[in-house]
Amino acid sequence: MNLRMGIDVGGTFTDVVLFDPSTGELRVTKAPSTPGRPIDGVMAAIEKAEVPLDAIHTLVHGTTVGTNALLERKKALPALIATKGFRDVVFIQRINRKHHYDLSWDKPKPFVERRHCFEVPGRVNYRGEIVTPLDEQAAAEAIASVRAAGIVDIAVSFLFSYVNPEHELRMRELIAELYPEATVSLSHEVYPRWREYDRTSTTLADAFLKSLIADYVDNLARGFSSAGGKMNFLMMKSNGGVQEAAAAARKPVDLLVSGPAGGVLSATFFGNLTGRRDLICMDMGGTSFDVSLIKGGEANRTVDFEIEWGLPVFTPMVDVKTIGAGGGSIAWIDKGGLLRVGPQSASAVPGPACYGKGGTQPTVTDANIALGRINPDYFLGGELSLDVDAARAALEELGSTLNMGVEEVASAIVELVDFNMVNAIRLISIDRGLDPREFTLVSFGGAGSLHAGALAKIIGIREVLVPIHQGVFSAFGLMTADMRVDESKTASFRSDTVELSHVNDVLTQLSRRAVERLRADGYAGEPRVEATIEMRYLGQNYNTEIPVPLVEGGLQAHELAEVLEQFHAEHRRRYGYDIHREVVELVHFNVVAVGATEKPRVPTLSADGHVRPDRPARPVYFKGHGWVEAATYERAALASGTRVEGPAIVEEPTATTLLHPGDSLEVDSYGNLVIAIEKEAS
Amino acid sequence: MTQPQAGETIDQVTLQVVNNYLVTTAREMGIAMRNTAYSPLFNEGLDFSCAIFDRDGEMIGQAEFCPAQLGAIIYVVAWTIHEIGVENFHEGDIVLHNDPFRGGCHLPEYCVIKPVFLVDELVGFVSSIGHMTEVGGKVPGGFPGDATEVFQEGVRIPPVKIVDRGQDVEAVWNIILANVRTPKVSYGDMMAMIGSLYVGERRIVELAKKYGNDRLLEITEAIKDYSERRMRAEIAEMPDGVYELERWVADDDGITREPAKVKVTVTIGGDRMTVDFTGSDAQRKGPINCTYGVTASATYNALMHLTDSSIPSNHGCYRSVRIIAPPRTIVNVEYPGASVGGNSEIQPHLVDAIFGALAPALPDRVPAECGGTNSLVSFGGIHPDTGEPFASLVNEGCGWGGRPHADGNNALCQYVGNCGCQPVEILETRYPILHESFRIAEGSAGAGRNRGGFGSIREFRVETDELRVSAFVERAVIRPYGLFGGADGGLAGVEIARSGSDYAPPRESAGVTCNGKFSDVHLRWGDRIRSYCSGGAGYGSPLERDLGRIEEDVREGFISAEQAAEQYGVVFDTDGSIDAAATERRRAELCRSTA
Repeated sequence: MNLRMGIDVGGTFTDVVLFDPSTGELRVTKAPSTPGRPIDGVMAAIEKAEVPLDAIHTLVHGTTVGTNALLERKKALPALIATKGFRDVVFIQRINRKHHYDLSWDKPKPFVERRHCFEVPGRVNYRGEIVTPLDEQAAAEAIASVRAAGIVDIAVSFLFSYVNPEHELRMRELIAELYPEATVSLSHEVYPRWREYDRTSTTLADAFLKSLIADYVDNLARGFSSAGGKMNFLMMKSNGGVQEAAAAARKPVDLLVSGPAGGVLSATFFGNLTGRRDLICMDMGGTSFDVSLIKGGEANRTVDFEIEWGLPVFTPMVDVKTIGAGGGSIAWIDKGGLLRVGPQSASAVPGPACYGKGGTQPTVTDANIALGRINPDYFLGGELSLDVDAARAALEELGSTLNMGVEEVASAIVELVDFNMVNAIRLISIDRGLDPREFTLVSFGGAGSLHAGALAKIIGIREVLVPIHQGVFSAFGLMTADMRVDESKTASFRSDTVELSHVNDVLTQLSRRAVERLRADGYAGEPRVEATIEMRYLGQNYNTEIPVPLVEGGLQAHELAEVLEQFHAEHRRRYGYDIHREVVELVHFNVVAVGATEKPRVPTLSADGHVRPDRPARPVYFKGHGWVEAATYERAALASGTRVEGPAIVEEPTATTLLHPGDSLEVDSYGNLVIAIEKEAS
Repeated sequence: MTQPQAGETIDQVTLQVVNNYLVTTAREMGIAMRNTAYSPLFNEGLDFSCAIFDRDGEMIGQAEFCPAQLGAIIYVVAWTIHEIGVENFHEGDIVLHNDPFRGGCHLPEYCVIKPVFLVDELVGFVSSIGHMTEVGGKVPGGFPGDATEVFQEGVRIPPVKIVDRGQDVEAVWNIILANVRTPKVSYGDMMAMIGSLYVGERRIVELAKKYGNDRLLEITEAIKDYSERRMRAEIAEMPDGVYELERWVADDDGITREPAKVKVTVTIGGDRMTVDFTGSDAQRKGPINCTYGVTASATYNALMHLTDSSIPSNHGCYRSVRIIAPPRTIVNVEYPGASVGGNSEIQPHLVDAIFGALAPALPDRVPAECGGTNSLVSFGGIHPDTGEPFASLVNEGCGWGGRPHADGNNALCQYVGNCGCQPVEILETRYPILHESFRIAEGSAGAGRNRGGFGSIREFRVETDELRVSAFVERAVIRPYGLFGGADGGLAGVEIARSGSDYAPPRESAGVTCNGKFSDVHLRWGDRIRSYCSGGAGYGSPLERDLGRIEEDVREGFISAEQAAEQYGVVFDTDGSIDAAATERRRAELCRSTA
C-alpha cells in the first residue's frame, strides 16, 4: 500500500487524516492529545484509523510544540556567546515601548539569562574585514563556562557575521572540540541579515528549540519504527513546506508555526480543487481568530514574527495574523460607557454563560445563542447542551446598563466582534495594497462559518467557501504539502556599478544550494525554482521585494533593467512616489525551491441526498429584519447541487453555517458550501 | 420586523470602527515612512509621528509614535491652517513648517501637512512630523548644545507650500536643500514624510466615501466627545486639591553652569485640571528653553500616563486641562531664543515635575523619576569610504523610575519620545565609527523597594580624519529624584578620549563650558567617545526591598555585591550567598539610623 497520512498535534486533540491514492479513500480520526508523551496520542489516533503502520508510505507531521515551548518558556534557556562588549544587546533591545502612556508595561525578557551570556574578543567591521582576530583562549573559557553551567544549547552571535562568518564558523569548531554534547546555532546561518538585536533574538529562539525539537522528533521516529513503521517521516515547516524529520533539528526555528500552516495549505488545496486562486482564509475558534491570504494560488509569506511585542523571531513563514476574537470573547463596558468585545476570553472554563459552568459574563457565543443562530441542542453534535436562559440573562444584565434590549445588545456584540475581525482582514489585504473584494473568503474552525457571511458583506467580498473537513482542516493540509526550501543571501550591489555576472552568480549559487537542500530533504522529482531580489533606494533601510526571472544562461542587461523599473513602479504604487534618478541597492537575494508532492483526491458527492430542510425551521434574529424563520439543514445530508436561499442554517457537529437574508448557498460537487453574498444596498 | 435603530447601537459600533480606522491609518503612514526614510534616526530611531485632523484642524487620530511630537503637532497644524487660511488649501497641496515660534516644538522637527478632499469638499488633514537629522545651522546633526539664538539651530521654515496642486515648488525645495549639509539624505527623508501623506490621504478618502463628509464629521466629533468624557471621569477620580513642586530641570544651559528650575502648581477641581508654571526660571541664553507647545505637550503627556492608557488619544483628551506658562520663561520661550534642547531634554523633567507634584495625591500611580535623557550625541563630516557628507544623531534609552508595583524598565526612550535604538551594525555601515561596546550601565539604577531601571552605555572609535561632535545630555550633574524614600538614579554623561589618552569629561578633554552641552568639538581618527545614560530613581525605601530580588540582581550582574551591601544593607556569607539573619539585623540598624 502507498498511504499518506497527516498528523496535527494540537493543544486538545491529535487529528489524523489518511489518504489512499490507489482507491482515493480518505479517513479521518481524532484522539485526545497527550502533552507529556505526544507519541501516545499520535499512536492512539493512528490506531483508530485501523491501518497497519507499515502500510503508510509518507507521514507528514505538524505541531505547535515549538511555539508553545517558547510562549510558556517550559525549558532551560540557552547560553549566548557574543562579541566582546555586546552581550547586552538582547537586554537593551529596541528601547521603544508597545504603547505610549502605559506605565504598567514591562519590557520583554530575552530567551537567555544575563549570567549565561559570555563575551569573546574578535571583531569584524561592516566591510567584512577582521579588525580584531578571534581570541581562541577566551573562546575556550566561554565554552567551559557554558559547560560548567550545565547548558547544552548555545547561540553564537557576532557582529557583522552576515558579512563575514569566519569567527562564528570557528566557534562551532571549537565547541565541537571542547564540548561535543552541545548544540550550536550560528547567527549567520539562522538569520543572515543586519540588525544585531533581531539576528541575536532569532538565534536564541533557534538555540532554545534545538535539543527540544531533536528529542521530540527522535521520540516520534523511534515510536514509529518500534511499532513497525518504515514510512517517510516528514515535518511541516512554518513556510508551508515539508522536510525530512531527521533534518528538522538543523534549524528548528523554521518549525515555529508549523501548526497553522496546515490550515492555510488546506485552503490552498481546496482553492486549487475548485478553481479559486485568490483566497482570504479565516479560522475562528473559541479564543482566537487566525487570518491569512492566498494570492494566485500561493500563500502570503513573511519572515517577521514576534513571540511577544518586542521579542522578534525572523524565519520564513506562512503569514498568519492572530487576534483575540472567538466564540468565548467576553463583552464588557469600558469606563467611557462604550460596549467592547474581547480580547479577554471565557476560555473553556468557566466558558460562556450558556455552558452553565459558572460563567456570568456574556460572550459572542451567548450572543449567537440569543439570536437563535446556534442550535442549543446540537452543540458539538449534541455533546454539550447549551442554556439559552443563562445566555439571555447575562445579556439582559449587560443591556440594562446600556439601555438596550437583549436582541439589540446581542446584535451589537456580534457586530463589534465582526468589525474586529474585519480589521484583521484589512491588515493582511488592504494594508498590503490588495483589494479584498477580489478574493473568496474561506472559513473554517468552530465559530467561523457563523460570522463569515457578515464579514464578507462588510468588506465587500462576494463569495464565501465553507470547505468539507473543516474539523480536521490543518491535518488535511499537512498531507497536501509540497517540499520547500528558502535560501537567501545579502549582497548589497548598487545599480550604478553592479556587474551583471555578479547578479547571475548569486542567483545561480542560491538556486543550486536550494535544490541541493531539497534533495537532502528527500525530494527526487523536478523542483520549481523561483527568485526575488529585495531592493531599496541607496540610503533607505527597508526593502521592496521584486520577482526576478531565472533564465537559462543568466539574466540579460535589459532584463535586469526591467527588474529595476519594476522596483520604481512598485515603490510608486505603495508610497505615492519614486526617485528615478537615485541609485538602487540590490540587497537581499531570495530563492525558493519547491518539490511538488502527490495530492489527495477528494471524492465527488452523489446528487441523491436531501434537498429539503430536514430539521425544523427556527426563528433567527437579523439586524434590520428582526426575528425571521430560517430553514435548517444537516450538512451531511446535503447533496451536490443543492441550492438554499437565506435566511437559513446549515448544521454539522463541529460548526454552524449562517446564511443571511438575501444570500444564497450552493453545495458543490465535493460537498463544499459556496455562499453568494448579496450586494449591500448603497 | 423592526427597522435599524439610529442612536446608541449604531453609534457604539461606528464610533469604534472609525476610531480604529483612524489609528490604523496613522500606523500605516508611519510604516510607509519607516520603510522609505533615509536617515537611521527615522528608519531605526523612529523619531517621527503621523496624525489625522478634521477640517477644523482638531486631531482625531494618532498611533504609538513620539508623544512630544503628538503634543506639539496640534499647535503646528492649527497655526498652519490659520496662517495659510483654510480657503487657500487645494487638492494636491503639501505645506512644510518647522518654525518653533509658530506653534512648533523645536527647529529640527519638520512638519508636513496635506489637505484631504472628497470631490471638492475638504475632509480634513493628514500630517507627519519628524526630527530631521540635518537642518543646517551651526553644526552637523542639528544639536548645538551652546546655541543662543534660533538662527544657529538651523534654517527656519514658516508654513510654506512645497507642493502646490501636485506640482513641486522647485524654488522652496532648492532653498531648503541648499542650506543643509546632506541634501541627498534630507531629500530622501522629506520624500518619506510626503509619501506617508499619500498613504494617509488614500485611506481617509476611502473613509469619507463610505460615510459621506458630514456624517464622518459627526462621527469624529462623537469620538472626541467620548475621549473627553473618559478623561473628565479620570480627573474627577483624582482627589481635589492644589499640589505644588519646585524642581531642578536642567543641569546648566550650555553657556553657564547655573542650573534651571521650574515651579509647577497643579490644581484639581472636579473633572478639571489646571497646570500652572508661574514662578519658573526666566528664559535662559542657552538652548534649554521650551516653546509653549513643548510645555503643553509635557502636561498632556503626564496626564495621559496617569490615566487609563486605552482612552483614544485625540483633541477631546485635552479639553479638560488648562495650562498657564508665562512668556519669557524657560517654559515659554520668546523669539529668537534658543530652544533645540528644550523639547528633547528638558521636557521629560517637566513631565516628572508634574508627576512629583501629584505624588502625594496619586501615590499608587506615580513612578519615581526616570533617567530623563536621550544622551544625544550628534556628529558629522565626510565619509572616507564614499566621499559623501553625513550627519548623525544618536539617541539612547535611559532607566525608568521605580514604580508603585514594579521596578523601572531598563534602557527605554524617556517619556516624551518613543524612539527606537539605532543598531550598531546600521550606524557603522552608514557612518565612519567603530563601536567598542554597547552595554547595560550596571549599578546605574537608584535603589528602592522597587528600584529604577538601568541605563545603557556606548563606546565608539572615530574612523575618519575629522568628526565634528556636539552633545546635549541632561542629568549629567543633577540625579533623577527618588520617591518615597527611594534613592536617586545614576548620572548620564558623555566623555572623550583623545587618541592615546584615557576618557575624560569634555570640560577637560575638549575645553568646553558644560560637560553635557557643547557643540562642534573636532575629533580625529582613533579618538573615542563614551556616552552613557542615567538609571531611573528608586521608589520606596531600599531597606524594604525583597531579598530574593536583590539576590537576582547580583546573580545577573546588574549590581555588585558591594552595591547590594551599601545600598540595601545586605550581608553576604563567605560563600557569596545572602546571610538572611545578619541582613535583617543590619537593615533594622540602618532603619533606626535613618529615622
